[in-house]
Amino acid sequence: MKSIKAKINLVMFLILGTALSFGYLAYKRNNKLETTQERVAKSLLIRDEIKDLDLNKHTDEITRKLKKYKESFTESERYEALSNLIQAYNSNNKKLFKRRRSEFEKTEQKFFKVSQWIIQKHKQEVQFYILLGTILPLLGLCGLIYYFNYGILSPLQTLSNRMMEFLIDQYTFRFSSPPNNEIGNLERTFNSLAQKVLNNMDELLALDRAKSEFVSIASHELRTPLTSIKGSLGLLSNEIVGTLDEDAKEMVMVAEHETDRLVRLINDMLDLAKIESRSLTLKKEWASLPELFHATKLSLHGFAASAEVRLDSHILHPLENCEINMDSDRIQQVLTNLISNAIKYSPKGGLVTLKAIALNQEQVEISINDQGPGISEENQNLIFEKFRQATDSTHPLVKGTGLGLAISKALVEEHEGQIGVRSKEGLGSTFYFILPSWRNGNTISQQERKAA
Amino acid sequence: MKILLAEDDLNIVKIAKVILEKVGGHNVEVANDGGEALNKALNNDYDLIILDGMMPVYPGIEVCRLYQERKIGQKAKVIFLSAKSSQKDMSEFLSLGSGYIQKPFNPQTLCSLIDDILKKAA
Repeated sequence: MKSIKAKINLVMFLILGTALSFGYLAYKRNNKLETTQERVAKSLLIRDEIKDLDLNKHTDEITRKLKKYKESFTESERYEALSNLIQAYNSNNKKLFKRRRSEFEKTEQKFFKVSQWIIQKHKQEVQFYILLGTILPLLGLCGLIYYFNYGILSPLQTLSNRMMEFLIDQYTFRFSSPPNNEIGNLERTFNSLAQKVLNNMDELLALDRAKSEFVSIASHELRTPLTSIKGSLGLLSNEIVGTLDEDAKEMVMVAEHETDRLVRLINDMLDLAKIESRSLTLKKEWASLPELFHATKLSLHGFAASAEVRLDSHILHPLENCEINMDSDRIQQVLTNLISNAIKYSPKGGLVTLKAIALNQEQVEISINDQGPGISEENQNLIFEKFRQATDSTHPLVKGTGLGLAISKALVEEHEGQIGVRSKEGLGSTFYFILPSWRNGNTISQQERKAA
Repeated sequence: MKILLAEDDLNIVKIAKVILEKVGGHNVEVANDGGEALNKALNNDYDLIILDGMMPVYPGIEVCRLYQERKIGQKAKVIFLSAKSSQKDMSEFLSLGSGYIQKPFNPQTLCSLIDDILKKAA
């Protein structure tokens, strides 16, 4: 009898059985009580009738009634007394009759006493059975509720706690000795489920490590031959090792550009692998936003000029001297990615606007607006994925690797920020990212920097 | 400058040597593995030693460590040349040498990069 279902069934059966059997017993006793009461009442009635009759005149009637009286009793004592009485009647011996009559009355008194006692006893029995028939099932019910609480609800609560722990990455999942019932089955299933999850997790971690290792080795192995290729092409195109005619020089330039693109792709892949394997540690410190804007603009100045795109920047009040808690190299990488994208997709003579706005006392939004073709809504969700580009670049000189936005997203998210795009087809795009903390820069250090 | 270039990839040696000589106007000697590099470095006086990160016999880091330990007299500056780019490798390079050059390097700017590193380290 180990399963909870069987236990509950048994207890329910016991409760029902006790209630029914005691109910039946009480009913039976009550019947007996009523019969006895009826008989006593009937005998009293007949006796009273006999009492008032004249013995000489109504002999036959008395005999008939006495017979009935006799019928209403079964007790042998009474039977004896009656037969004596009837004898007395029949013999017409008044003396004897009187004696017998007094005997009869004595017996009768005794009978009533006994009857009273029997009635009392029956009454008590009925009460007792009703009491038992109520209390025992109630006790059983209490036991059942107790068992529900401690045998079912408590283990369920423990199970749910274990699951919660599992959810928040504490893998203390094992039930050491599951009981041999339904709860135990649940615990055993949970144990094996958790084990499976852990195994899968280990496998995934191993796979992830293998992937990161592969990317890093592959990148290293790719970089060595690329060094020779890039070096040779550089020497050729710069005519350090001899002069080339115009066509040959152009071919070499194409090869050089494509080699550079390959190098960028490898660098991006490595960056992304580093961020994804969480081996990238940010060097966060309070750094000046205006200086970051300035440095980024300076580094992209040549590219913007060659694409004939104007690059503008606005730092809105109160951010004029602000500092942001960030790894400024990495945020510059994000800015460079977004701005060079904006330049690449801008028409000639277009304007790219870099803007910083304080969203509140803590968050700052940096946005890059272009006048390019815009991005359709369905593509807006895709472009932050790896190797996704909505349309080809209009700028033939620098082709993207398809990783820039994925890296930017990962870097901004490492800073606990958000990145996104607002765009309508034909109306340009605004890429923005939000960083979680800014403060007013130290004015003294600003002056010092200016002085320096 | 008198430069020792230690690198096991012969193509890279050839290119780097051409750049350093033709663009930078330096005097370049070559070693093809870690052992040869250490030997030459200990027995000659160079102004600069460029060490590949991964070489036969000794890796660049090891060559640099042994060189710093054993060299008597004027020690040359050391720059690493490596395709590795993990933060661990970079901080190791920076703690032992004056700086590092990431492969693949830009042939046009290699010489100015070296000048920058030496200026910063000085």
